[in-house]
Amino acid sequence: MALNILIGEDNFFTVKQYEKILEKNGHDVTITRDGDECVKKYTEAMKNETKSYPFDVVLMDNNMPKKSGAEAALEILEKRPNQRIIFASAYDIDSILNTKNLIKKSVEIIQKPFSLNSLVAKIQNRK
Amino acid sequence: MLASKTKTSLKISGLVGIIILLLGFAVLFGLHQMSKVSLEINEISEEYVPLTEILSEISLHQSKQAQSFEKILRFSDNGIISEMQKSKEEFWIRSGNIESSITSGKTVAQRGIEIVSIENDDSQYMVFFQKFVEIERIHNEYENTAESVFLILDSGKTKDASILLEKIDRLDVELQSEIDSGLKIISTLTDYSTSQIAANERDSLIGQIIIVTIVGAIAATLGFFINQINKDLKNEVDSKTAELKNANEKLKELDRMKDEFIGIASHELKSPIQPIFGFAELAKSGDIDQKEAWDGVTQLAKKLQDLANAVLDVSKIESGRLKLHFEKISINDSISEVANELKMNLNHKVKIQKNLDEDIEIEVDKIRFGQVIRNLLNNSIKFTDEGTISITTNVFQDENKVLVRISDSGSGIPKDILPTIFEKFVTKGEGSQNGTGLGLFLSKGILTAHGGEITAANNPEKGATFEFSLPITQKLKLQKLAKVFTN
Repeated sequence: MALNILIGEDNFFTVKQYEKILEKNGHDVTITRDGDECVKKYTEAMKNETKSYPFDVVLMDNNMPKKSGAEAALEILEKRPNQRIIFASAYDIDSILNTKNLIKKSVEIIQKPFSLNSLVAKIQNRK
Repeated sequence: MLASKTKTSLKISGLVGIIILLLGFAVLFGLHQMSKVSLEINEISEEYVPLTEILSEISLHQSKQAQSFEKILRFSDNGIISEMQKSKEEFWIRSGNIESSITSGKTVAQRGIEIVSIENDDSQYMVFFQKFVEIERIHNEYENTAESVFLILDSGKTKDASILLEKIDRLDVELQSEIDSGLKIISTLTDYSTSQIAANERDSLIGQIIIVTIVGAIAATLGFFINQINKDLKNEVDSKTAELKNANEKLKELDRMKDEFIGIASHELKSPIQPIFGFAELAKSGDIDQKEAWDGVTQLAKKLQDLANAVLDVSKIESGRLKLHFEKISINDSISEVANELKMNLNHKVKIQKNLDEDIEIEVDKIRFGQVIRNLLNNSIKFTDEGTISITTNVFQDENKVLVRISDSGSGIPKDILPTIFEKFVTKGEGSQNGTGLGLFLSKGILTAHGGEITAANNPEKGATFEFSLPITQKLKLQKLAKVFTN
């Protein structure tokens, strides 16, 4: 089943690799390069999308320019409280989990470095 | 601060020393007076003891002699010759005793007079000496008269003795009166001396009270000054505490900044790891070709190397340990060298244009100068998709200054970033060209260590301009520059 995935990631190579592996597995990928752009793209998609959730999964790094992943996730969860969000981060796992008001049940974490196939598996199989 | 501390403690110890010295002086003075008084009392009580004894002896012997004389007369009347003779013997024995006492008295008085002449004391020894001479005279006359009476008695003409007997009585009274007057003088003198001692004691007491009062007043004054010093000390301590508090706050802030830097730097160092694994995995599965994977890994390795070098340089700059090796180089050659190297990898839509002023020799660290030019040019290249990047120099020989301006027609600097553009990890490029986020911070640090300055601004139309100045020759020593930078 093809999933509609929003990616927030500032590392050029990582983004390209996500795009490559996810598209290979038949998913639709929307790329954003910072937290701010990620929220904007989500909001835009909400207007165009008729479904209750514009994206099936939001995959984001926590450490991004302009707006951190946690901040972006909070704004997204305000709009859609049950939006599935996956953080792919090399550090700061605690700060993500401790972010005020962040609804933990909607948030999943995958710690860098990970294999791209394990990421695909995580995205495709809801825990 | 150390000098001030020493001064304060010197003040306090000096004041305490003076108080102790004054109190010690008062105590010593009191003790001295006490011992002087008791010594005087001893002296006075001892001084006239021999004289009193001698006078008492003479008085005793005289009364015994008078009794013997009475007996002689009585036995003579009764005709008891043998008893009369005994009484006569006793009479002469007493006489000998009296003479011997008079001689002792004169000797004591004489010795007293001699001591008086040495000590110049207000003594009455001369009076006593004369008193003994007078007593001796009366005694001799008494004896002579008595002897005459004995001769008359022996001849049996007792009636003729009546005049002599009257004389004997008179002499006896006279002698006794002399002795009494002598004893009275001693008594008067002792009383006088005792009252003198009492007066001395009073004077000494008044003196001590005055000294204690003065010491008290001085102590109170010193107390006042010590109180002042205490206040000064308290203020000093308060201000130092405030300084320490500030220093502590600054240290905390520095610590926080250091932690933040370490946090960001470690994240930056970790971030290429994920894509390296990604390249390996994609190449293995055949999703990308091997060349693309190797190129990616090489770029990431280079990025890691750049970042490690940049972090090392940041730490050198922040701790003031950036060592510069000054040498005279041609400014135009150095700029051209870097520009030509970067031109080779330029996108064909971008040009680097040089507008260089006269070529001069400038005293800089060649490698660091090249690093600044490379950072600034790379920065411009990163944000310029098409157009021209110009590098301009202006030499101001009179001001010992050269200006270097790098201007581009790129996307410019976002307004929110501009005020903090020279701080660490403030801006990063995008795409595969993204840098360490430390280039501009390092450029500023290097230029400042050279005694130069750097500014950044957006161009009115398009793009941004970075401009820096450098001294042509270094007038200050490296250490001073480093110090200026760290301050």
